[in-house]
Amino acid sequence: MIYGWMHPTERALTRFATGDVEEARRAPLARHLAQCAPCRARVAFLRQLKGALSGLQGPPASAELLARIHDRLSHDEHVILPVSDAGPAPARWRSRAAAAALVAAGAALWFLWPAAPLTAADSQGELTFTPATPHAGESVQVMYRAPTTLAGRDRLVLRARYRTPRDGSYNSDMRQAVAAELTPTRDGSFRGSLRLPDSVVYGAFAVEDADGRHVDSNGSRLWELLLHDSSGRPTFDALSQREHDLMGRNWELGYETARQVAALYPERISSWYTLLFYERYALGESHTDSALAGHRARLRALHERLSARASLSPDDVGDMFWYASTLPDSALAAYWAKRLEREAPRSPFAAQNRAADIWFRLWRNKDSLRALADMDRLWDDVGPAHGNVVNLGWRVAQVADDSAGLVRWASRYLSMNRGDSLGIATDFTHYPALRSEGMRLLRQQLRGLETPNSARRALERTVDEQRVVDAARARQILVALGDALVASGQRAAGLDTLKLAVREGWDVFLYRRVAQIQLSTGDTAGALRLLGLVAADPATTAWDADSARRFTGAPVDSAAWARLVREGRGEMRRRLLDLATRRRLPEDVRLQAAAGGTVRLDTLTRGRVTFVAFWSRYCGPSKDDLPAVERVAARLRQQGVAVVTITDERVSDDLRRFLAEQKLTFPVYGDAWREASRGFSQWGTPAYFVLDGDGLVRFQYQNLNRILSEVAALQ
Amino acid sequence: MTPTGPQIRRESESPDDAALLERLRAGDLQALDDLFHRHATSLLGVAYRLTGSSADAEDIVQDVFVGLPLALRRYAEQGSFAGWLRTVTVRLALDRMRRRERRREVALDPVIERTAGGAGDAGAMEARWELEQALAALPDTLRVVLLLKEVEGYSHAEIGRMLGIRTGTSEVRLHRAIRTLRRVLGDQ
Repeated sequence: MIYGWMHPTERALTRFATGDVEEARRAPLARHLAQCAPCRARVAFLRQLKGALSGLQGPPASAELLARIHDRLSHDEHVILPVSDAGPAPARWRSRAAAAALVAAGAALWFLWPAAPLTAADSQGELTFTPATPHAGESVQVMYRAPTTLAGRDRLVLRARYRTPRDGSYNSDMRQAVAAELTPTRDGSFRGSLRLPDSVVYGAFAVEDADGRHVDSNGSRLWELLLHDSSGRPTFDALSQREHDLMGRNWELGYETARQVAALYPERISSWYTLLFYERYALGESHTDSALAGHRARLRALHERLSARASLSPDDVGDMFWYASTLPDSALAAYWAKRLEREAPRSPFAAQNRAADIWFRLWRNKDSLRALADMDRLWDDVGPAHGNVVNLGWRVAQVADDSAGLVRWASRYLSMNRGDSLGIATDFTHYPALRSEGMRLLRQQLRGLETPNSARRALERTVDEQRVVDAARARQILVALGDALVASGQRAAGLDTLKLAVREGWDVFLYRRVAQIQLSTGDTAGALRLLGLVAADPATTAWDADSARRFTGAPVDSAAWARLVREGRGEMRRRLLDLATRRRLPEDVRLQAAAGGTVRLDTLTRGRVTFVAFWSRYCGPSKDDLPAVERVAARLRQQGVAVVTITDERVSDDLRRFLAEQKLTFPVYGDAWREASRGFSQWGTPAYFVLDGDGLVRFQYQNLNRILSEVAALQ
Repeated sequence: MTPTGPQIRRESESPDDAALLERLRAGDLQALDDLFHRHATSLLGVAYRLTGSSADAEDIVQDVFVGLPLALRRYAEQGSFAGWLRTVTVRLALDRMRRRERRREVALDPVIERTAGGAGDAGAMEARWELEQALAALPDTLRVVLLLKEVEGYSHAEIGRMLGIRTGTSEVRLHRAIRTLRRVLGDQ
């Protein structure tokens, strides 16, 4: 510590520069610095660095950003903020200087349930395919035993979502079709037949009545057909498409499928990186340490075998690159990236790498017009080879702010992401030069929604449920359109459009926003009517005549305000019930009671409006929600509403300790046999349901905000 | 008539945070706008420096304000609201970086148009690009600690809690980050 003649350590200098040095060491350090130019320079560098870092400003807090925030709030979007630290597990980060990639995965926060055998519940029908393992072109007989909801009909319809080897993950872009008509037979079952269309490798199925009012989706798991090869095993493409189809709808089965693919097709490199993805995504990083060693050994073995070969298929080269990048093994990833560039420059992963290179170069040289030209050339060369070509192309066009480029890349983007048309059209309206085109696209989408289209309807949904989904989407489009009209100076037309958006549905954030615009046009009465709806929602706290006065800046009579709120409550009830479903639960759902022993769900809910919450202490968002669940539950119990919370583990002393520590007093039941999950067809936490007095599921959500208003609507 | 629509106001016109929070709790969304005008710029800076991406920074700050009405119910008024807001932003940014890593997404920045459009001191711009590049080249583990400690002013103990690492580890990472930057930026 005698710094007079000896240089202090770098760490000591860092501490000095950052103000973390203990008092006793400060003076000797200062004395040393006074005499030592190199150490002084080091401290000066640190301080300059600090100044330079602090000077790095983020993007501007623009009005557009604020508008986007309001837009999301108006769509009833809710974000659970991390108000406490993540916990002791060390983060496992690596450098982000790796190749660009987008594993097709949404940020869905699903919790993976332990595997449990899935059997059809009694309330669902039974469907069998013969043969259950069809070959290409083979005819398949369908036999269906209907549950009471579908029994006694003249005919039933078997609907399908068919997938070909080229279809992608998630089902948002997929089309549904009628696969077969089922007619009653003497033994009481329904029968029909189908033939998988050419090139189809996987089909998911549901049965419904002729009007599409009642649907049996096998408890949301659907029925499935996978194309099999001559040796009787499901083909690789069939399993891959099954895994794509399950993405976002059932992680448990998705993971199981990935395991099955790796077991049946170990020679396919993509089997392994898909499995690795599921292990990481579904089980979490900490579960994969042991698995990673196995992956590394496998990668090395594959590398030794394949790198010696002079000619490989483009798929193999790309897959080796991706497996090495995903693990990651940077040396092997670099080797395979080079081969990919040389041997298969138009293959999907090579195309992605080339797009990423352009993006990196843009970041370095800031030449957005050149980047746009490079992206266009890349597109001419590879076309829609990889999703990231269009993702990055669209972003480059945005950076370049080039109207023609934006139009070009939007159309390319949409050719690969049909489901995102609303997002692109809305983005267009933010560019003055493209606004009218954006508005044209929005109107086109509105017209599309007005046309009944059963291909768009998901297998699990009834016609009525699809109507609700379409109406919600139409409201989103109307809001975007109204905004664009106001932005283009057509205030009255914009306001009319926004009024249409608030005519139905229940969206208090949107009401507030439209009320603001109404106020600016002088329509105080209209604004007050909407504010009455806002105040009627039990989740809105303390909106009185004073609040309304402050909001509108106009005098508001207390009696008139009370009338508006009363009318608002009636309106809320009507609108919410309009959105409600009527789904029956199986009767024999068993739960594990806190005191031990078994209890049937229907005995807990019978005759009362019931709030059901699924939660898990191992799921971050769900755990974050627990204090709010506690408050909601306390308030609802006061109102005479039954509360049932169901957790994904068995009741144990450990769980009781957790509840005590967290000061949670709501009643907890363990879903020990997974019967509740299956009964509700729900596979993620948190999930909330409101049941009416007849035990029908009327509302279900992943956030708590609407629970209070929904309960109010049912009571 | 009350002016409507999002408008950027000067900070001095805004009432203080406590009053705004009270109004927001009462359901007055205008208060959210005022809080945005007061805090968004600095939060965008925090998120931008951590993620190195303007787009990510905007997404994160959007999330902060979209989540605010709900989170306020759990916000116990200890310490400054600005500090709480900043910590929430940091956590969201960290979370996003973890997820980004897991999905192996590209995280790069269209910061150019903003910088290039600004006042034209070529030397300063050059220096900024150099610094951003050097910063981007740091492993996330080091960059995060450097920024949290040196720019955002958290203590090593706080950083340790946020990242789930030991206090000593945080200190070592800070030191490594500085050493790397000094090498990259060519100072000694």
